[in-house]
Amino acid sequence: MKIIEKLIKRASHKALGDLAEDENYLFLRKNYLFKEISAEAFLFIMSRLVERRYNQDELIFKQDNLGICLFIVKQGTADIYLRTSDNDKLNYTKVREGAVFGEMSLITSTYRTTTAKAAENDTVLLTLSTFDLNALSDQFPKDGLNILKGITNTISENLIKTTKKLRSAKNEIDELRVKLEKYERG
Amino acid sequence: MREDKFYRNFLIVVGTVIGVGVIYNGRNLLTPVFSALLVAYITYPIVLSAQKIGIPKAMTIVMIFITMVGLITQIGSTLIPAVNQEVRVLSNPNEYKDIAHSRLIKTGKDISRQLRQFGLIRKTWKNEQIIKEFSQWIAEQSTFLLTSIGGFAKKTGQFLMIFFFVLIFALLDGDKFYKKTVQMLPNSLFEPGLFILKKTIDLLGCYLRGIVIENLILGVISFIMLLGVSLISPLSVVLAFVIAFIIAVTNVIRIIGPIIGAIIGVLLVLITTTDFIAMLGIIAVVLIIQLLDNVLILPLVMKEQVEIHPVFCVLGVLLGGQLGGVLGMILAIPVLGSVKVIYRILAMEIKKFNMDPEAPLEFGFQTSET
Repeated sequence: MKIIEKLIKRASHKALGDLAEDENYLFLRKNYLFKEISAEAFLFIMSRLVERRYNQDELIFKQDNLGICLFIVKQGTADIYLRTSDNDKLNYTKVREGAVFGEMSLITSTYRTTTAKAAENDTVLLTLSTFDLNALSDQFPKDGLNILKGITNTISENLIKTTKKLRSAKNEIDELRVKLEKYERG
Repeated sequence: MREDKFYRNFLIVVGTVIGVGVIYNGRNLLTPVFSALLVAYITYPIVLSAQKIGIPKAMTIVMIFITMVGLITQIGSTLIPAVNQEVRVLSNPNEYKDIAHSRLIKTGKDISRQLRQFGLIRKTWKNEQIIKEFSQWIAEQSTFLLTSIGGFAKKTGQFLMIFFFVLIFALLDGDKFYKKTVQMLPNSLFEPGLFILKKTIDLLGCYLRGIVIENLILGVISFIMLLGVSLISPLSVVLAFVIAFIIAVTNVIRIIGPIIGAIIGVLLVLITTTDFIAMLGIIAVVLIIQLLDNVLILPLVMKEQVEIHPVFCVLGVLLGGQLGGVLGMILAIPVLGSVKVIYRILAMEIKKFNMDPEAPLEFGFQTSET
């Protein structure tokens, strides 16, 4: 069994060697999510990764729709925004080359909290679905865990950023409230 | 705008007509290709599981190939000599003079004798003339069968060649095919399309594997029961295996399938052993199997079974027979079930997506859900 394992590892390394010139491979190897994973798992991801090209203003995903994919910006930029219950559009963030977005759906498979649109022509995104991640975790549990850790880190960082933003917004509101009270008192 | 819509609809209609025409004209190719895709789809999890424990994909595919060729050879080597011998005896006018050369005719005589003993036919009936005329008819049919055996062998060879060719490539490049399909989805429908595709593949897999498991269990039970029959009759173990296999395969066709299975089984016994008890045993086995299937196995294996109305079932089987012969009949029900599964998913799951960017929100502001 160990001999077979060694053979598979050698075959995977050889296959990765053949991919050395592949632009998606070179791009992904730099991404923090896939830095630590094994050659076999990397090959699996490469076999599942789908490349998609968008024109400016083309919809990538929509708020409140079921989300099942993670997107990695390979080229161009994408706008992420949310709509309030009054249907007002609030710009949230702009994601650039190398950034990962839509990652929450990979863990929870739930509704999108934001809408994403391509911000320029020829925006290229690489996608990985929750089904692919499940299959990867099933076949290569260690690597699946590593990717999940990476995604959880991203979500935690986003959460910390949002909490900071919320705190500063709350402080601003408090300051404004004090100012308003002072103003009302004359 | 209106013109655009008209042209789009026109193209859809023309495309559908051309598509149906191509399918109808290429129906001879369609059956082996479709059968191979179906078998590939059912056996693909074996390839994946083997890969998971370190067995290379190519090796698993070779194993599947060898198993299938072995099975076909085993069944062929059991059936072909027996059928061939009987057909030759019946169709040869010199040998036909001696009616006892044919087991089929001899069995006819035995059955009529037994029926007369039980009083089911009158003793005054002169069945010699009936048997003679029946034998004459069989002899004519056998001559026809003999002349068409060459064509049948050629067709089977072509079928197997296309079948194995498609099967091997479908198993080797199944994941690439899936990826290409995903890549073809339009941007606006990417996530919904991927979700529906995956859900369809999963449910279809459950349904088709359910059919395989159900009939595999039935095949094993039939074989065990036929072994019991072989203890009290001259039914051989190999023939019991072949008949159990036929019962399991034909059981895929709901309603008509078991009848076809029983008829083929009885005919095989007629050709090979001529034993009356063995024939009754086969009929009893088919009846028990049907009872077990409907009461126990089907509800257990396919909890969310796809119910198909009997009328659609019969029409589907007839249409399948028109398009792809016996195999078309067998494939008709899984195809109908698959269409129903896809329709169910499309009708239910598509509601979860609204890809119009300017459309107002339907579910409200759901930040709490993530």
